[in-house]
Amino acid sequence: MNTGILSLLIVGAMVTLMVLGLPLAFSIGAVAVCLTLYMFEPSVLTMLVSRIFEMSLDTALVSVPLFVMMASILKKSGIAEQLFNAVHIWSGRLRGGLAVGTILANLIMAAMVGIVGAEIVTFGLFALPVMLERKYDYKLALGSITAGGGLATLIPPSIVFIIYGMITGTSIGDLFIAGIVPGVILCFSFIGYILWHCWRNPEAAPIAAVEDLRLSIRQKLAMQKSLIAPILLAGSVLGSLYAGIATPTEAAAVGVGGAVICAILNRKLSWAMCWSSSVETVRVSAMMAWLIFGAQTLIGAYTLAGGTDFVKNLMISMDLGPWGTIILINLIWVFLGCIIDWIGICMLTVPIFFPIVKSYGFDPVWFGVVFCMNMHIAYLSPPFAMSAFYTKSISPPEVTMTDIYSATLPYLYMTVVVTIIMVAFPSLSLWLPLQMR
Amino acid sequence: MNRMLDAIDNFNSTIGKAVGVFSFFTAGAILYEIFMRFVFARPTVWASESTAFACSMMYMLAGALVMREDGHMRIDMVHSKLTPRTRAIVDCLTYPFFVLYMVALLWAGTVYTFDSIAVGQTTSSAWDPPIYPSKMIMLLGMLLLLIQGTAQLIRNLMIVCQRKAK
Repeated sequence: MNTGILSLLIVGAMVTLMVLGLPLAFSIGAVAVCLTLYMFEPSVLTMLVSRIFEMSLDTALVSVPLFVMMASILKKSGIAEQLFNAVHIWSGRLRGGLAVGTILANLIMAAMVGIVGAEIVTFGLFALPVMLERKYDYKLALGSITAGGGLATLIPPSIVFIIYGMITGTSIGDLFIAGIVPGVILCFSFIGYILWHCWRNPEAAPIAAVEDLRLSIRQKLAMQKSLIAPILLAGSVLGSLYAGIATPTEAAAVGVGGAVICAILNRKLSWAMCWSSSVETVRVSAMMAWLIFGAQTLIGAYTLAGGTDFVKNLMISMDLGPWGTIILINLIWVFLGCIIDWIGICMLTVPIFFPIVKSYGFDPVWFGVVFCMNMHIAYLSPPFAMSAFYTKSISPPEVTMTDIYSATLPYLYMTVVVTIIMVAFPSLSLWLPLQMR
Repeated sequence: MNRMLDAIDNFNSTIGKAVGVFSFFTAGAILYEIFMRFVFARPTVWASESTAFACSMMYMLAGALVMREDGHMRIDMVHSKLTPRTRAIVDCLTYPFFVLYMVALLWAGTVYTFDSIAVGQTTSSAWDPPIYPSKMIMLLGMLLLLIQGTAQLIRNLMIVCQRKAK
């Protein structure tokens, strides 16, 4: 069979199974098995298993459960609440101050947590009630929580960068540093949007009641003490990584240690809390791992069937030039981001696109940032918007998915604009890693 | 029948939660390694490999727990709009594909594992542990996942039949 038709059949079969509700991990794997049996002998199936097994033993993958564990301990350590309070007390007189505070607190939290779900669920649980209590517009409240949580993908440590670095062999440390500038730019563009929106629609964000404003500067400064532990923790994790003395896995283990210390300082550490953190770690990392395994089998079988070369040649024969190819890749990612989650996209498309992009002389680290920006879009773009699902899980029942989608739409546009800027100006992402070398 | 299904659920939940111990082991072992390297300049030979093995076992054995809690990521746009009975029917239709994947992995995995046992394969590192135990755990994990999936199928079939009987 023609490889082109075969590729279309693969995509068709995968999408059909997914829409019918079979989990992504198994849909992808089942298609891989069908492809192998159709194209080759059953003995080739051993190759699929060996790909799964070798992936499960990858030492870089060990950092994923550790970062998940760090996030889940921090989530229960009460640190997020302190962060939010420390940041938002300055915002009493500012229209939209709570929403701005949410974004800023998310930015700081993102430097400790690499998982979007953990950020949204943690901040949503107390920032949303506070905002609604102050009669904030639903849309403003939901949007800032959903979009702010997404910053975890760009601000190191980020699981997206770890998986990308693992597949492409790019230095995870460099990727982490490269994500900082785009992450901060994105954060400030969100803040800019909120301020503009509140200036246009003052009723969307009432300012604080008088009693909230009465805190003296001294009291406010005292509350900043709670920022010390998070900043030290983020500093020790990222610092050990950038100084080159620790691998991402070791930095993650330091992070787990630091998170436990934070929990002890807040008197939140208990056996029950450790136990539930470890179960949560198992849940999240096993879910991710099986998705990775499924994608590993499919990309292995597809490469063996000549599919990877087919796509490569197809893209080269289209003769789009280096930048045309980059734009095409971005469009493919944005499209895929609407229907499947980032792990699937990363495992299935990056091995195909990466060699092409590299042969055009583009920087692998920059390409990683572009990928990450696209996944940021994927997190927000309906109908398969992971961030919106997380927000739904912590919202009052009367909030519908449609409400959340429309609330996040402006942030989605901002993200697209920042992505275009990052694509157009590679030096924005590459400047900081160059300084560090 | 129900009692057996519950037993499968409970067994897989217990296994999945028990492997949480590996996450503590991983964090602890790596912190210990960092400590030994920087304080005593005596890095361990086992930390990096043993944590990789621990994590591998964790992913494998917890697959069934995630399935029981419906935690494997899925697109539920269509799925969530269906009536429980139609949903059960659709799930029964997609089940053969899940089985195909698991049985293929189990069959090929058995060959893969036995080859490894036959030659007594090790990792050929400084620590040099045998590889096959971890491959056997992988097979066990796949088997547990298959059993959990089948338990779910039986539940779905029961939903389908129940309504018909009424």
